[in-house]
Amino acid sequence: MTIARLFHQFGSPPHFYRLAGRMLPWFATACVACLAAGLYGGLVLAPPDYQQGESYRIIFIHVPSAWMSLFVYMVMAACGAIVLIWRMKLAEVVAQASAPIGASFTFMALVTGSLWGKPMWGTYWVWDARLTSELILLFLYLGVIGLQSAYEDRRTGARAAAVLALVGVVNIPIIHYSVEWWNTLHQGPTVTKLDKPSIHLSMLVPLLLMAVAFKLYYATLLLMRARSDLLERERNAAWVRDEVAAR
Amino acid sequence: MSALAEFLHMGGYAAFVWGSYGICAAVLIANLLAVRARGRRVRAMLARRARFEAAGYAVGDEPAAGGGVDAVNHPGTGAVSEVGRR
Repeated sequence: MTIARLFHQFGSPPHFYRLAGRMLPWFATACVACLAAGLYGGLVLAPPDYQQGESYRIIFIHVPSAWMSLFVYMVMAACGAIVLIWRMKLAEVVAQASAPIGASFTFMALVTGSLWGKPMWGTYWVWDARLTSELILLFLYLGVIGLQSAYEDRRTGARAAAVLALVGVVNIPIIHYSVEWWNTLHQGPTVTKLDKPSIHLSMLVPLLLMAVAFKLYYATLLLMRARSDLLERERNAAWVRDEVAAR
Repeated sequence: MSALAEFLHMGGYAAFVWGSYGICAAVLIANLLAVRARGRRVRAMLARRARFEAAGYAVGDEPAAGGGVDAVNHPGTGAVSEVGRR
């Protein structure tokens, strides 16, 4: 099977609908398993931090949320490019499903960061480069969500939102490198460094488990939402009638 | 202090740690419920359309689930509305 054929088949709504339906239970189960293991490892097994005591345990949701806020944005922007270039319906659906989830992760990263900042820095918020650029990311997500539903014709809305999503990509490296480019209150990278991560294995393992759990959560919700959106958009297609009749 | 109380106390940072975890749990669950509700709404709309069609009525291309899932054409007229076609 050629790559082009594979791409075409994956992009075909009925094929994607059935494939997603088969994958869903696996993603959901793996997500719950990783979440349980990560929470147990992070909240119970990992020792307290020598500087921050127990408060550092916020890291197990803060860092995965922040990673996801960037990851989901990149997925959404990549779909935006596909929407603008190939007008692919599935990419519109994925971009539309991703935006609220990405906004949620961004919100979680900001709120948990704020609740971590208060006991450690003495303040809930500072206009620091990392914090400000992450806040701009939240506004970008909200702008994309707004544009997606701003037009009577949702395909026009999808294209408008795609343009904003692509322009906003410039913010992603700014967020990532903000702690290196500017002298920020936010601490530098702990895990994503080229040399050895400066975090003990007993903390790194639950952190990575939580990151995987959040990725699987995103995948699960994405598939659920994409499936129902495809049914709705294609409601007059023969395959949807077959799906409805088969139930 | 018992082990559980000590665990819940979080070395004095209970409000910050459990507050963070609580807000995240609420956001994640709310997203899941919203996506599930959306799926149910779409499936109910499709089932309704199928029932109408089986009864011999013309089913129009009504607006999407968010707006008017119930907007099925008036039975008997056979008119298929072009309004809201996507």
